[in-house]
Amino acid sequence: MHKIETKLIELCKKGNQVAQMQVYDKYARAMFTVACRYLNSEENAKDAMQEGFLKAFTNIDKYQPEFTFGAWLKRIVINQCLDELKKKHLVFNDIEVSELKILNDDDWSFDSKITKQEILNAIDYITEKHKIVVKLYLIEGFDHQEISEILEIPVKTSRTHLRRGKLQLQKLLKTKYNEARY
Amino acid sequence: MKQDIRDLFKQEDDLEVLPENHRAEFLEKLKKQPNEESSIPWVKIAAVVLIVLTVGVSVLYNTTEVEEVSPIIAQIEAVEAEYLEDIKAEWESFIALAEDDVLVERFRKKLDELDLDYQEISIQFKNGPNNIMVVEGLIDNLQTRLQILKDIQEHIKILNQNNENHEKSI
Repeated sequence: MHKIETKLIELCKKGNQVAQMQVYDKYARAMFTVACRYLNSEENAKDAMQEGFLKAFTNIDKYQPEFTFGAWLKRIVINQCLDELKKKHLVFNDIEVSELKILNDDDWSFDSKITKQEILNAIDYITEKHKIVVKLYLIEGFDHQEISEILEIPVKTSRTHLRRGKLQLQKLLKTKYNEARY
Repeated sequence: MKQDIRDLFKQEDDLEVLPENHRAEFLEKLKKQPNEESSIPWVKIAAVVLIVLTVGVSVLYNTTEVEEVSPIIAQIEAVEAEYLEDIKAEWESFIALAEDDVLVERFRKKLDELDLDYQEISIQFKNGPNNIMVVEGLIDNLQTRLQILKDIQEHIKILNQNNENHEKSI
């Protein structure tokens, strides 16, 4: 099936609409799911997803087969969502990078009773700027280098956002967990 | 008990359900895009890709529906006919362009060989139309023929141009 995908992409490079629709059909649902994580309304998520596809097709010559096509597309869709958010004046840079205490960045151990859905719900309550970085890191699986490219911020800033986001997440889940317990 | 919650997110997600009509809407948006290149051969090749995908899907998910293969054969035959027409047209334009009999003969041989291959793959295809590799083989063969004819003509044109320029510079 890999060979067919390569062919489809070649056809997309020629601007072939049938092939483009094939690619759309293949990835639309997954990309819509990604967009829904960043944009609140379904309508906006759908628009960002479709805009992402159009951008991908326009820039398909820049696609490098070293990434899977899906991964490449996902970055474009996420960027599209972030552009949407930026319109609402979301700024990532105004954070003091210096941290008072050094925390273990790599420690993501939470109580094992906490479910994925609970974490997702809690993420929604994190401060907007930290939230995006937490989503990019935790849900999408990007590393700080990639996040810094996507958000056009220094790696250090990305780390700081993530650290603060994680702290908030821990706090949120702790309250919830304790409430459930007592 | 503790868990690393990053592991939770390494598993596949449930996908959201797309709004209705999203597809038609996207097609509209796509059509509004400025489209530089959409020549007819590509439409055909896309049709081929469609068939390949259809066959692929039916091979993967529908192995029970072997009786319903005849539409695939019909589709392939239609695509084949169009390709052969294109190849014929390219061949004629090549003969008109090439002034070298040896070259024409060499290409005639090449195409004949490809045609022989094609007949062989065709037999395989008719025995098992659901084999995606065979379908791809057929299409590759037709594409190769079309491409070598296009390439050689391009080559001749460049040669002619260089000669002209050379003559002019003398």
